[in-house]
Amino acid sequence: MRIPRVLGSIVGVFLTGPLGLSAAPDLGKAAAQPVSNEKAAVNLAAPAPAKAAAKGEPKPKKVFLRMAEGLRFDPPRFEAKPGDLIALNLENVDVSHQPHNFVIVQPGLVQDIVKLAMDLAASGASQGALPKHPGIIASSADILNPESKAVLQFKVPETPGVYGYVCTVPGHGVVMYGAMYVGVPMPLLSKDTNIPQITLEKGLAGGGKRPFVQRLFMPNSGPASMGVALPGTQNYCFDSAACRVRYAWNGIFMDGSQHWRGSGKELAELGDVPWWTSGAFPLKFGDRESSSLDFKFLGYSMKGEFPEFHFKVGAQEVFECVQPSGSGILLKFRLPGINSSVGVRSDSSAQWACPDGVATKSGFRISAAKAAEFSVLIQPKDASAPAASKASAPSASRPVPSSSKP
Amino acid sequence: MQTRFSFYTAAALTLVPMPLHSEPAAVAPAAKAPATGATSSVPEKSFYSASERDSQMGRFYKVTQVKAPAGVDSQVGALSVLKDGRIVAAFHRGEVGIFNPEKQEWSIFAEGLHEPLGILEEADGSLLVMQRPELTRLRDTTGNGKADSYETVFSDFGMTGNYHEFAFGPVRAPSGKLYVGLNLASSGDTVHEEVRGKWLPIGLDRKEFYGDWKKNSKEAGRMYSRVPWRGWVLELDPITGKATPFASGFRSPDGLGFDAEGRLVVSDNQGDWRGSSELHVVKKGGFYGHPASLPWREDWGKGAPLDVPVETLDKLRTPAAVWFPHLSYANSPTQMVAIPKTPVWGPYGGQFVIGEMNVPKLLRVTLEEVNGMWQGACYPFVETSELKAGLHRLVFRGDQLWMGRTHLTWAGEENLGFVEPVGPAPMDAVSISLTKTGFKVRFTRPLASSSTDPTLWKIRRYTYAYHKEYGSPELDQEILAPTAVVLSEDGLTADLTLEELHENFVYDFYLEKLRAADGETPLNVRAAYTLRRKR
Repeated sequence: MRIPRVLGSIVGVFLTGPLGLSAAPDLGKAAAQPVSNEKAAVNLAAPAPAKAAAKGEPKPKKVFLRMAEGLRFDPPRFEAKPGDLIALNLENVDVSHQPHNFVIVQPGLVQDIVKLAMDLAASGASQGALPKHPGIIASSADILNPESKAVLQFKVPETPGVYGYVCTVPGHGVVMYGAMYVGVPMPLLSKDTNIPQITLEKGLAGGGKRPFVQRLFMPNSGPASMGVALPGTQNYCFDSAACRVRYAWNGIFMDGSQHWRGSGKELAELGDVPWWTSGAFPLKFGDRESSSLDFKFLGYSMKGEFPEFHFKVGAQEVFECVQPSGSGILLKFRLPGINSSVGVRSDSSAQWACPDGVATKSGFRISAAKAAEFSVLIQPKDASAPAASKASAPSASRPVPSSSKP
Repeated sequence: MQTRFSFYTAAALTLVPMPLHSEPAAVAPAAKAPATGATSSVPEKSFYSASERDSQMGRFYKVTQVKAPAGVDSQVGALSVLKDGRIVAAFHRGEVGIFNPEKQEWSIFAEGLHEPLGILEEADGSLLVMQRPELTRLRDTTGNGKADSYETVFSDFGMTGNYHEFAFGPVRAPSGKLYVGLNLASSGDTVHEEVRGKWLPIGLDRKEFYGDWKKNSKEAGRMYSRVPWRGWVLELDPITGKATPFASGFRSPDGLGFDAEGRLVVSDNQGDWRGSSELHVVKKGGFYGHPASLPWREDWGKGAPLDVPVETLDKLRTPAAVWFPHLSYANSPTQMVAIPKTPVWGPYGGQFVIGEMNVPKLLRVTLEEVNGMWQGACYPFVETSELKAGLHRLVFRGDQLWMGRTHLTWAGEENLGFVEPVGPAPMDAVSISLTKTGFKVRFTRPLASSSTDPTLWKIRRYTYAYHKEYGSPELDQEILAPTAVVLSEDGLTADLTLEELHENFVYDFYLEKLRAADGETPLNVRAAYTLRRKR
C-alpha cells in the first residue's frame, strides 16, 4: 500500500496541533468524532516540519471522499481492511452549493437512517440534526458547507460486510449514498447495487454515447489502448501497439473516473467481464508469421458509425473495422494490394466463423482472390448467454499478466 | 484493495503544493542541506499583502474568465489559437473544444483522446494533438465540424504505462519542424505488465518492477527512463512523422517554445537533478542535466547513469540558462510564449511570459548569450488572485494572453481566462543584462535621481546543488550591495558595479526601495539573474 511518507507526521500535527482539537479519546470505539475542521485541514497541508506521531499510536489510513454536485459521493465506494484506523478526509466540492454531511452505518441500514432523518426534519429539527441510531458507526458532527473540509477518524469494524454511507440532509439520502467494502470483494462497478446508478454515469467514458472511442489505460492490454463502444451493446479494446482487438465485452462501456480523478495511475474499469479475449494477431499473410513483422499503427477514421483502424504489418497495409453482429462482433478487413492467401487464426474461447474462407486446422484460409476484403465473425461460445457475467469478476483495476505476447 | 487505496493516498497530494510534473514521492523534501552556507528557501514575507497586490495589479492588468464547455472536465491540457482567431483547447478527459470569442460559444471538435497536453493548427486547418500515446492529426473530412479522421503522425516512442510519462508539445520551429518532449517515469509508481517499445536492460531488473515496489522503487531512480526517448526532446517531420532524437537530460519538459529569433527553449521542474526549476535554450545534441535519459544516446557506453560520478555528468551537461528560484519565484513553471511586440505590451514585447502552477502568477524571462553560454533573468510579472493558480497553457490571441488551467492531483484550478494590459506599463524592471563589472537594470520609467544611492539596492547571491536528491536548498548565500550605481541619461537604466562576480550563481535583486522619477513604486519588486559566464 502506498502511503505518502509524510502521513505519520501529518497525523502528529492534528493530534497535537495548536488548534485546540482533542484527539479522539478512544479510537476503537464505535462512535468516532470529527477531529478537525476546515482550518485544521488546511493546516495539515502546511509544509512546516511536523512532529512525528508518538510511538505506538496507530497511523490512520487516509481516505478522501468528496461531496459533489448532483448529490453524490466521489468516490461512490472504497475498500477498507477490518480493524483499520481511517482518517476520512471529507470535502464539500458541490458547485451547486448544497450543504452535506456524512454518516456511515452498519450493513443494510442506509434506508432506515434516511427515513429517520426525514422524520426528524418533519418534526422541525434543524437541517443539520443527525438521527440517533445504534447502527451509526461514525458521522461528521456538523453539516459541511460548500468549500469546507473535515477529517473524520474512525475504526473500521472487524466484521466483514458492506457498510453504507449516506448524506442525511433531508432529501439527499435517496440518491446520495455509497459503500465501504470491508473484507468482501467489490463487484463490478456496473453491477454494484450498493451504489446509486447515477454515479456510474458520471464516470462512464463518453457519458453513455455510442459509438464512442476512448483512449485510456485499460486492463490486460498495452498502454496505448482504446475502448470502443459500438452502437448497440458491444464494446471492445483495441491495442494500437499490437494493432489488434484484445478483447470484447457486452453491456455497459467502461468507467474512467479512477484514472481521471488522479494523475493517470489507474486503469479503466470495464462494464463487464470480456466474453472473448484474443491470444494473438489473427492474420497471417502468405507463409510469413506475423509475429516476425513490424506493426505500425496509422490511426483510424470514422466510417459511418464505426471506427476503421489503419495499420501496417510488415509491408502489408491493413484496414480493420469492427461492427456488432448477432451476439458478437464482425471484424471486417481490407488488405489493399494483397497478392497472397491469408490465414485467419481462431481460438477456442469464442465461436469463429469466416464465410469468405475455408476451415483449416488453425482457423480459416482466405484465397488470394478474396483476401482484399473479407470478414471474420466472432461470437460468444454459448450464444444464448452473450454476457459472461456468470464468470467470476477478475479485478479490472490493475494489469495482470496476459497470456499473449506483449 | 491496494490500488484503490493507492489512489486515495495519491490524492492526498492535492493538499500539498506539487507541480503537474513532479512525483508524489517528493512530498518530503529529500535534499540534504550541506553543512555550511545553506539557507532555507521558505518564501520571504511579501512586499504587498495579497489584497494590496490584487488592487495594484488591477491598475495595470485586466483578467477575464472563460468557462470550459458544459459537460467536460474543465482541466485544460492544451491551448492554441486558430488562424481565424478562435481558441482551441484540449481537456483532461480527451475532448477538443473550439471557442468562438465573438459568439461566446463552444463546439466539440473531437473526443476520447488520452491526456492531450499540446495542440497546434496546421496550414490546411487540421489539428495536431499530442496525447499520451502519440501525436495525432485530427481532420474533419465531411465538413460537419467534427473530426472523423484520427491519423497517427508519430508514435515511435516507448510507454511503460507509468502515470508520469506525459507527452508535451508539439511546437513548431520557423523551419516547420515540430518538437515534442517526453516525460520520465516516476518512482511514485511501477510500470505496466505490457509496455510499448524496447525495454532498456541497464538498471533495475525488469522483474523487480513487479515485486515489492515500495522497496524496489529506491533502486529504479527517483525518475527513470526505461523505454525509448523518455527524458528527451525529439524533432519531427510533420509530413513523414520521422523523428530525430534532438536533446536529452530532461525530467519533465512541460513547456516548449520558441523565442522571437526561433530558438527552442524548454522549461523543466524542480526535482531530482534539478535544484530549482529551470529554463534551457536547447541545441541539437545537448544534454541538459537529468541523467536518466543518457543510455538512449548512441554514444553512451557508461552503464547505469546513476553509477556515473556527478563530476562526469556535470561536465557533460549544459546548465540551465535561467533558474526560477524555488518558492520565491515559481514552484512549477509551465509553458513560455513570446510576448508580441505591440504598443499594448509595450516594453515587454519580444520577451517570454511563462505560467506557474501553484500560485496565480505569470513571470517574464529575458535571455542573452555570453561567451557561448545562454543565461538570463526571470521577473515576477502579473500576480493577482484573479489569474487563479494552475496556469498551465498560454497563447496570445492578438494582445490577449489566454490561459488554460489544470491540476490533476496537484495544486491548481480549472477553466480558461485571458489577461490584457490596461493603460501604460507600470513601474517595473524590464530587463537585467550582465556587464564586465556588474549588471545593467533597465526600467519602464526613469528612476528617481536618488537611485544612485547603492544602499537602496539589495542583491542576494546564492546557488543550487546538482545532485540526485530532490531539489536543493539555497547554497553559499551572500547579501550584496553595489559599490556604485550610475544612471543613464534618460534615467531608464541603472548601471551597477559589483565588487566581484561569481559564475553559476543566482543574483536575486530586491527593488522595493527604488522609486520612479514620478514617485511610482515598482509593481514587482524582485528579479533574479542566473550568471553562468562572466563577460
